Amino acid sequence: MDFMYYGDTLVVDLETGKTQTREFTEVDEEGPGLAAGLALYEEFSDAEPLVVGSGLLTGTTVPAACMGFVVGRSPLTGEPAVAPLSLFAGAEVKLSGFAMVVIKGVSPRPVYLWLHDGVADLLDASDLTGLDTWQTTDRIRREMGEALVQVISIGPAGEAGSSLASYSINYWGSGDTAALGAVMGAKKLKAIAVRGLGMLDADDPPEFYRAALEMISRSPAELGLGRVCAALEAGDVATWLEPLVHRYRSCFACPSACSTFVKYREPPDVLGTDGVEEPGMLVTSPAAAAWLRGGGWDAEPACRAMEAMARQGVDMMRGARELAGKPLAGE
Amino acid sequence: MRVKVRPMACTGCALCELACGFHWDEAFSLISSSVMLYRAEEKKDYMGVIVKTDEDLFIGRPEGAAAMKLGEILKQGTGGGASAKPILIREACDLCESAGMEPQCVAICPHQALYLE
Repeated sequence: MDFMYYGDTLVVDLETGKTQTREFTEVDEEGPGLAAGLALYEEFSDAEPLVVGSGLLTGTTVPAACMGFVVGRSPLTGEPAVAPLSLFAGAEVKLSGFAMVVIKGVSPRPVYLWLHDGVADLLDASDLTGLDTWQTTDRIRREMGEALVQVISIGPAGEAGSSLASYSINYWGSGDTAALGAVMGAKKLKAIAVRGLGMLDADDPPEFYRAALEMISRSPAELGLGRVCAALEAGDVATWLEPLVHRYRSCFACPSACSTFVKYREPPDVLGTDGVEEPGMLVTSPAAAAWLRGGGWDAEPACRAMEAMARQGVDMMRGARELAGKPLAGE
Repeated sequence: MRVKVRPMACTGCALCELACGFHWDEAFSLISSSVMLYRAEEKKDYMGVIVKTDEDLFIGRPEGAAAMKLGEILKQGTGGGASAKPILIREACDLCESAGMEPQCVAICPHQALYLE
């Protein structure tokens, strides 16, 4: 495409270790964004693919245009499912130099995929096997010498093929409620590491920018989980978390900062970097927080439980339901 | 008059980086901006904003905000990662005068974390 996407479609064959690219225009007729991702999933469905991509507006100044996606067959339903890439991961995928990424087949050995500047490398992940997602993220960032690499990884739950498995984004929960983390595990795909340093063109850039700026001026700039949990009729989660709150965080280009960083291994008001290495976690799942609160958990053990789920690569929403004694039917 | 930072008002959305990059290139990118979000210490949620001018960097750290001369910065480094374009070799902030606009990082910030003074 001339505008709004940067690079070609990448097809990665895990079985052979080979990669190839083709013009992204081949799926234009299906539409951009998730429509293109679903079309690619259908095209390669015999090879049980995971398709990684991003939305048409992702990576621009349009408010909240942060999302990427992963499409794959959910082990929970046997049907194609979509899971989100939030925080900075969707935008970095968009700017990585690949418009869409198809990952097909099963690797004979543990690997991770490294995407950057229109280059794709399948790298050995033998020494990452068994690591949790925090250790995996730290290890990959250290190997790359780049702390801003976005790491979509699985932990022990995904490697074991658990129905509760979820991929994490860097250190935090992702919203993968379809167990696509278990699909990554079955493919022996430990992680997808991505850095987006590309550039997106728009048709009529000044008008595009002006319209986006106007939308931002009309967008709510909320802080914290309160409004989301109110919409879910999930109670006053914000007040429950308040004693632990350090700061609020936005996803890429989003005016509302609904992710909440909480500290429980040092006082939440510590601002510098001299304290403990791992002071707390980023609460990214309003639903998980609401389920734990509703299950009678105090905020600090609840946050520690969410951290453990993120580390192990467990779907935080369904895991929280289990811990609250309210598992989904059939689980 | 310069762009300053209220670091604790920042939520790390990077709209300021995008807007500044758009000012320079009329395209969306994270490597052209005179404003850089510092987000390299994610597990500690340590986050700040850096604005480059001809003479100094205005650095908004959580502990406080201050300008540092470029010579001092060269000795310390600014982070940002090995593959990122270091802020010291990016364009200096011109308050968007070359585009005939008000400073776009200030205009776009949803939380007024950047301001003119």
